[in-house]
Amino acid sequence: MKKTIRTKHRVPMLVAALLLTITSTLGAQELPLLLQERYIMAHIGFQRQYATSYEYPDDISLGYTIFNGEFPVVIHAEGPELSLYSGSPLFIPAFLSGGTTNQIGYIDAYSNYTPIALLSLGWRHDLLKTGNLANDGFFASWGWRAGILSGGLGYHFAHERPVGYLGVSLDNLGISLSASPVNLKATLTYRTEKSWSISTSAEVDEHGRASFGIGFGLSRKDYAAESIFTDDWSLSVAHRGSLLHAPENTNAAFEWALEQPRYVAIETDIQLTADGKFLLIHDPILLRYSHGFDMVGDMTSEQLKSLDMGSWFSPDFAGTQVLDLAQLGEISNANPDVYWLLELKNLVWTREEAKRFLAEIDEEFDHPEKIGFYTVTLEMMELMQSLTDRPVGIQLDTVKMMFYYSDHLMPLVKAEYRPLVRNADFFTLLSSKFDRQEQLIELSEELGIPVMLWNFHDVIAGYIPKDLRHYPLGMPKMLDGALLKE
Amino acid sequence: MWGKKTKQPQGSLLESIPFTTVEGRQAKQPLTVFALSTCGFCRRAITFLNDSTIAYRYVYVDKLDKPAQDAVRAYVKKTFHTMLSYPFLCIGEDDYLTGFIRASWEKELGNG
Repeated sequence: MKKTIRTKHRVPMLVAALLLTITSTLGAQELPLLLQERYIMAHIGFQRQYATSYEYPDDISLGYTIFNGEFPVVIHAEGPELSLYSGSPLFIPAFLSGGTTNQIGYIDAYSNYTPIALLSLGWRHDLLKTGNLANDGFFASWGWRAGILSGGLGYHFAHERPVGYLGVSLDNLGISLSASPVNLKATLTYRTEKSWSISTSAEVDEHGRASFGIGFGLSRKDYAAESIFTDDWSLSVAHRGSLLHAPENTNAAFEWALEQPRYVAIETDIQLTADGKFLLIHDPILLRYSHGFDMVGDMTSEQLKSLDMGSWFSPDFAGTQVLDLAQLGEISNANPDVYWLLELKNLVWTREEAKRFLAEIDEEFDHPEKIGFYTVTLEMMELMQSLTDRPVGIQLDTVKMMFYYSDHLMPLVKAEYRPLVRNADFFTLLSSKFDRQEQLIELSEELGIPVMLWNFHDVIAGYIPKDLRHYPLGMPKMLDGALLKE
Repeated sequence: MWGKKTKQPQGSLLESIPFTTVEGRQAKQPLTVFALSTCGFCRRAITFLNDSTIAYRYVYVDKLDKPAQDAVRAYVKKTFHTMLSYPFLCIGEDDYLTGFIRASWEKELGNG
């Protein structure tokens, strides 16, 4: 028997959501000055139900999505549902079931977002009280991506059903399949070069009833995040050599960075291998470099050096090898003007390991005074500070998980940061968590140390307090012994 | 509100720039390369363009005087809302490529 939905609020809600969707998407090009690293998309879809007794009739769906840095927020109004998600964009489509028609725009998210495996949490509300339990309650999922494939597994608590999802995303085409005990759904999305997209879907429920949908969408990606920085952010540091132009932390990435006149410093990442060598590698797991789930810390330097660390980025760089500290020393020695910031990715080293690391630096680098360090834990920062006079900074994102903060919360945030960065020579943060550059500038001035903002682009932008601008990178310690002893 | 309507052409900033023009088949959009005479990525990009017999113009920004360099930087910032990095390929005034990843350039410009 066909259930009808009480439609009293349905039309106004859909009209309001449609207006919001259209205006905010059209306005998205104006937003980058305020927001960073955001990806905004909207879609409208139409669905024809071929089922005879489906919970709701032929339908219009509307979606509005903001992917914001690492923590995407998805607001999705669809027929009788209102959904709110946060987490990986990879797995969201799996939950857009039960009458859902389209998933416009996710194809962009697949190709533009770095997370390869992330937890998603979501909540759906049965806005129009259809009584359909599937539209209400919390769900959780785990999604992953490997190359063009993505997939995930999740659980809908209210409905007590698991969901699985598998997707393929090519340049302009996305195909996905999701399955749960109550439905099976296939979706095909095509996106043009200029952000328009169209998708179709077909779905069958557990009684064999079918529905079919078609949707149109529009998405906007922000300008490069670097363009939002004001002139105050005068320090340009090359992030992992380069993220966008060559495989990160390799010879090619450093070649790129060294050729760009804007950089005074290059940032790179250090990890300790199972055999006690220091290699330049960012991720603790090799998945993003297309070498499976092996952990860097469990492998020997020989094993790691036998891996192709370039093909995952582009066939242009096939055969690229991971670098070690001695090889970085050679690059530094050939470019004595360049400063280096080494991010120590391990949570903690033993005192002996840290000593050995510093001894290797002194041995391999003609200009160890050009090197600064920063760490991902306070323990590691303290350890390094106890062993060296070189600058040691802190990566605050890993010490304290920060989300988006509004103006009136900023004093609290600053109060929380202050003790953490008190002893650091500089601190770094993910920039997409901060729209409020002026607040960070204030904090930096107050603490008297530089702040550097990183994101998923090539540039780490730094603000140097006014009193420190005559020092290299804003760090007196970069001038080394002579000056410090005065 | 909608990008293209508000976008002002910034071409006048480039009036004084002494580009070198390379003849060839016309691309869909005029191509302009800002490069450095010293940079390997730039050399590879220019070699790629020459091999693909496509029409484009280029200039070595490090050979320009300071006002001209500033004009190029301002042009890139105003037109593409990004900082200048090398090589920088302007595809008309709507799109650009930086660096040189052969596959991306082939995709953007056609194989050849």
